[in-house]
Amino acid sequence: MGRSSLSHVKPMSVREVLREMKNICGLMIDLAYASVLLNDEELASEVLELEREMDGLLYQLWMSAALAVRDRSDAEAMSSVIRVAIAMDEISNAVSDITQVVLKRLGIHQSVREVFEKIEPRYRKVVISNGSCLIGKSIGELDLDVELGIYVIAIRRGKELIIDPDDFEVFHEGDVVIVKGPSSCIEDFVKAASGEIKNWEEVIEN
Amino acid sequence: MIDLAYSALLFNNKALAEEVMRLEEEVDELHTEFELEVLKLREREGEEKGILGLIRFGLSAEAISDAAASIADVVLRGLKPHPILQKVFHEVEESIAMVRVEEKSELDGKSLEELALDEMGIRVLAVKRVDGEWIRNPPASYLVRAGDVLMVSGYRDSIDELREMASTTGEKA
Repeated sequence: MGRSSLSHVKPMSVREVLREMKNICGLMIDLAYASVLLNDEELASEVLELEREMDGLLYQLWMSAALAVRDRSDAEAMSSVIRVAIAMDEISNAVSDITQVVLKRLGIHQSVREVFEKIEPRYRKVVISNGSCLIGKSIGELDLDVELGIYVIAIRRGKELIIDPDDFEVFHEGDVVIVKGPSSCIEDFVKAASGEIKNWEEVIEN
Repeated sequence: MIDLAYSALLFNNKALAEEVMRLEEEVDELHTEFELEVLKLREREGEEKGILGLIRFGLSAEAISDAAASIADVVLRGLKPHPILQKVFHEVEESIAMVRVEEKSELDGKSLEELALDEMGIRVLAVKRVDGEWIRNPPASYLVRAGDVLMVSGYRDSIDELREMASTTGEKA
């Protein structure tokens, strides 16, 4: 995803920009909470990158919207789009402020952790160990979201950080997977990742 | 709250939008309470950083709730939302759907806890009862009844599965 500056405006339709904004907004929320709860500076930096991208997209949206409006009735309808886009930008700014807690090394007060341990969904860092049935399988193949209710936010593979991996991403031994999901499902995923349960069918049986 | 605001927009539903506004007021009140509690923590030395982190956290949560309210506000303005909004919020991987529970279906008469829908990747955002009443964030003990309309978010496939479970003639999932 490239950063758009005002002089290189890509001809994106309003719909495309809005869709992109919604996706990034959602991703940022997950990354931000994960970065704070797991005290992960790299994830926090990613959030800041995405915030800059959101800002650029908002400009893009203003321009595309202005070009798309032909008359008064268009203008009225488009105002709802702009209002929503601004709100998503506001959410992204707020969410990015949360990551400052990590980046400024403020740390998170015990009470926050306690609260987040009580509510769903949960965020967790899971290591794929030697002998795990997940190795060599892709996210799509495992159908993690449907079978386990788990969403993979990011994978750290050595020095590389893969944000919002797609369905084709395959698990390797040693991967540090950052997941989000209901606590019972995360426990199942942990068992599969550690090799405690050797058989994928067994994992999803529950 | 954000999901609820998106659904209010998607379905152009005033009742949901009003619910979001109510939540925003609640968050405002809670936030003030929160800030006062945090100030009481100041008595402990050496915890300043953690406490500042808490304050920032609270501020962000408030800002997010305000933004969600402004999304819902679009519906309350009476402007029919632009079709683009409905298309965009409809086509993302995680979608929002209304599923009506039929008589004698697999869902009828079971509690949310029993159904364990979250293990299917489904989140029940709200339920509309036969009498028209909306219950948002229904508790685990909530008993699903025929005639209920479940507003859920989840992945496409999960929602398809749920629809089957909600129908009278559905096969056991």
